[in-house]
Amino acid sequence: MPMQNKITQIKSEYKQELEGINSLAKLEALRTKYLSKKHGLISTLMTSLQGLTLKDKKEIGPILNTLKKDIEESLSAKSNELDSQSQILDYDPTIPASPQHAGHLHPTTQIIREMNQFFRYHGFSVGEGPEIEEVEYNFRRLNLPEGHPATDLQDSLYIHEPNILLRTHTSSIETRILSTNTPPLRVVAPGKCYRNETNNSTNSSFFYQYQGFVVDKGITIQHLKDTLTKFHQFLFGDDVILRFRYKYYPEVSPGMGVDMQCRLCKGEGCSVCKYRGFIEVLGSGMIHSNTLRACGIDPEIYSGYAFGMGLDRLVMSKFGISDIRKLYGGEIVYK
Amino acid sequence: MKIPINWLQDYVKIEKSPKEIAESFTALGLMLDKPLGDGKVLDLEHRMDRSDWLSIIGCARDLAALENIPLKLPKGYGKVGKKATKDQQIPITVECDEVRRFTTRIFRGVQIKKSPKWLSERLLAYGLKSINNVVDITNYVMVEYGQPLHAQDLDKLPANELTWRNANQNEKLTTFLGTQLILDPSAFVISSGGKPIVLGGIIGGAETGVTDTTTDFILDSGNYDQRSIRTTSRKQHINNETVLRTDKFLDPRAVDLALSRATELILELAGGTYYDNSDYYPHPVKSKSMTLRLSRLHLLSGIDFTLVTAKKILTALDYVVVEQTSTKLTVEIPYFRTDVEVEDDLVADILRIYNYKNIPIAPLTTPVPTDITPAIYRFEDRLRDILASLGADEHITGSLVEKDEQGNRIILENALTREASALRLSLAENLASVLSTYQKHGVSNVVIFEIGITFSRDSLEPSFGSIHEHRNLTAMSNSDIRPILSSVMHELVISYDLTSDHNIVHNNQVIGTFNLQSFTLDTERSMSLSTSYQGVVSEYSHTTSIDISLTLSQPTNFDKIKPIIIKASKSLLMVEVLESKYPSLLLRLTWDENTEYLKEKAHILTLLLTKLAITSRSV
Repeated sequence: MPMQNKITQIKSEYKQELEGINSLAKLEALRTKYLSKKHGLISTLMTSLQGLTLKDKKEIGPILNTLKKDIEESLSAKSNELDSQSQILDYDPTIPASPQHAGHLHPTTQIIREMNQFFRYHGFSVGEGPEIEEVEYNFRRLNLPEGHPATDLQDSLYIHEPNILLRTHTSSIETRILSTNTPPLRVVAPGKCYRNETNNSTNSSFFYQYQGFVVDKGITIQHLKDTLTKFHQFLFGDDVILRFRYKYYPEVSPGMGVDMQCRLCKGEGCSVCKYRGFIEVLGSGMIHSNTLRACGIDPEIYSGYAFGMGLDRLVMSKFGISDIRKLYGGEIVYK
Repeated sequence: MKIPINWLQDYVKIEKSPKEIAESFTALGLMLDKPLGDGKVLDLEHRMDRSDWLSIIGCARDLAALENIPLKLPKGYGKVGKKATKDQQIPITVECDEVRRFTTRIFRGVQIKKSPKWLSERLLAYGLKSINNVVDITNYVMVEYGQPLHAQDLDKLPANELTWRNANQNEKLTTFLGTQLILDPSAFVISSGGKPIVLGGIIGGAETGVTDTTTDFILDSGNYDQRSIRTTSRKQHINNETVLRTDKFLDPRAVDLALSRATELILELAGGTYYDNSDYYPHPVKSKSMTLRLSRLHLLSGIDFTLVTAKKILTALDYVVVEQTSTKLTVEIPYFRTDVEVEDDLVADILRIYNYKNIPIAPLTTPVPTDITPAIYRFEDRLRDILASLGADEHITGSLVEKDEQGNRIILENALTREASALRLSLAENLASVLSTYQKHGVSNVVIFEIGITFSRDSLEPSFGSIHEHRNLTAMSNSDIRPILSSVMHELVISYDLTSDHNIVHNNQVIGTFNLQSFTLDTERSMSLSTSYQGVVSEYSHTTSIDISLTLSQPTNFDKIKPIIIKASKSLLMVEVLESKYPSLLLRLTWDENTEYLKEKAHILTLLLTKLAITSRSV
């Protein structure tokens, strides 16, 4: 029948044309050609159904409907295919995006957190104390009697001479905690300290220190050496080379200094390590029996160790900041 | 302290390289301070406690003990001097408290000439000029033993006597370097015939020095109040080899060895006859003893030292064992160890000579103690994370600021500069300048914060009780800070209101302050109000929001409107201000879907009209 031949012809023509469609615009044109209500080929065929016999209508009608449906579905599928292809064409996996803005913690906070993490792992609490301190805790209980050169008035900033000052070291936190708690104790104490210094790129009238101490039964200098070795490995890497030597501090006896070998010159001496080959990291020792006693702890029953270090030099070197005034003066911008 | 190595070798025959010797000194507590250079002189750091380390012999002694090599000390001149006749003696009078000991000897008929090479070379290596044999000997023995001595030409003394006294106000003294000093009674001097000729323990005068023409001189060595010397030398800006030693506590017994050694060298190099003169020493110092229990040594070191080892080390350091049992040693502390105070200092000496590098390491094995970390520390750390998660950057600024007239600001009594003469009352003071630095460099759209201490005082009475430290969080931005504040309070789960006098309140308790661009929260008060966890909903619930457009009949702050709305609605979840431009106010009210929100909305509008004359038009 001519009608059926026509349908078959349109079907195969459509199939051929569909294969050649490679853009949404061409797809739309094809849709219009076949499915447009007024002049589309399918619509035209649907109209010409009217002139057929009932018997032919019943036979051709469903075939035509099926064809229309097939065309609609295949157009839709093609449209999706073209869409995702264009997405794929637009997607360049090698284009990185810019970082989104996030807030940042101050470098000193970050370093303190890292150190606290190390010590918390070893059973230490974090301790605090007042920044305005009494001479009793800042000097006397640290085995620094009146007249000791370390307590020279010109080094401390006083709120009210002779008894109230800004703490000159975090050791005052140690004496406070030793005086108000009973052993066993394991404490680290980061904090701001103050000294009467003129400000320049390496010195500031205020600076951060990190203090630590342990008081318990049977604490020996071997425990101190062990803690400090592990701490230095944590800070500077497992391959850090350390040197332990006698060093005097009033609040400890025996006192101990810990240096690490200069990474740059490997101990030979260079400008970074001031030609010493080693860089001083911290001071430490066994807590002086006078200190324990002054804090109400019997040195015959308990012994302990303590260590203290300046934080700023470490923070500055880890973050590449060369001037301490910028670290605390708001001249750092977070990248 | 400079140690010329060949000088050192006179006392300890050590066969190590300069580098190795420096390493040994470093272990002992004298770190190499400057590069080795040609290795002829070690420049070692000196710490303030060991006055005996300011002498070559003091350093040699420690090195000998560490290296297990015998220490070779100079012979000295042990014999008593010739007896001087009464008119040959120089009377010494002491009229001030600062002199603890003053010992003099007289030498007659000496030949002043150039020092032999071994002497001048050593002095030069140390850093001192060679003058003549006698002056050089005084310097040599000072460096050798750490005890200063002084020689004065007898013929140049203004009178045949020496008197120690405090200086008179504005009294003048010209030093041998030619500097004129103006003194006051806090300084003490040797005077002769009323004229000051020596600034005690610090520097000699120009008049009485030993020169090429000297034939008779008086040699002295003394022990003086180091605190007074410290003060005077700083005041007069004199910092020489003598002061380096005398501003520390020296033992008066050091005088004997120094004089004996100087006498030996003077007779050898300058000839002449030696006469004893005087020894002012009203309160001879007795030697101190101390007991070291073996158990204490074991306790602090964790090492099983034997009594024999302990004794060997202490003896090498010149401690004299006066009593010994199986469990302890009692030793006499050598005169030059003015630093040894307690038993643990003996432990320190033993460990030091044992060498710290030989001490083993041992991990802590006692049970972990109770955590005493204060809750506020953890809370503030959590606050930092909240602020950072909201995109704010943390700063740490200085506590010292310029002083002003605010009555509650704490002022420092001895500030160096005006810029750092008082303590900050708020964190905003410094954060504002951080923001303006940022703006100067074109960085905008930034929120910064600091968590730190601020300081205030109640009254002018500077007692510890009237001084306060406050813990705060301050956040600041160059735009409206209230969204950040709202987010922080939301994370902390603290409900709050803002008052027209710029307070942040919770149930009428003030927990902070704010203005358009910054807010401050009291962290301790906030901590007590904050629950640990932000609420997490495990079942979705749906809310419904209605926007209402209000017209105010007169300017009315939101803190007057909100309470009425809250009171009028049982189930209202949230009221937000979308727009506020007088007289219009656009609010969004949010309820749970399953409530009678329409009824509540009507009730709210009625109350707003009757109580505050606010009309509305629902959107």
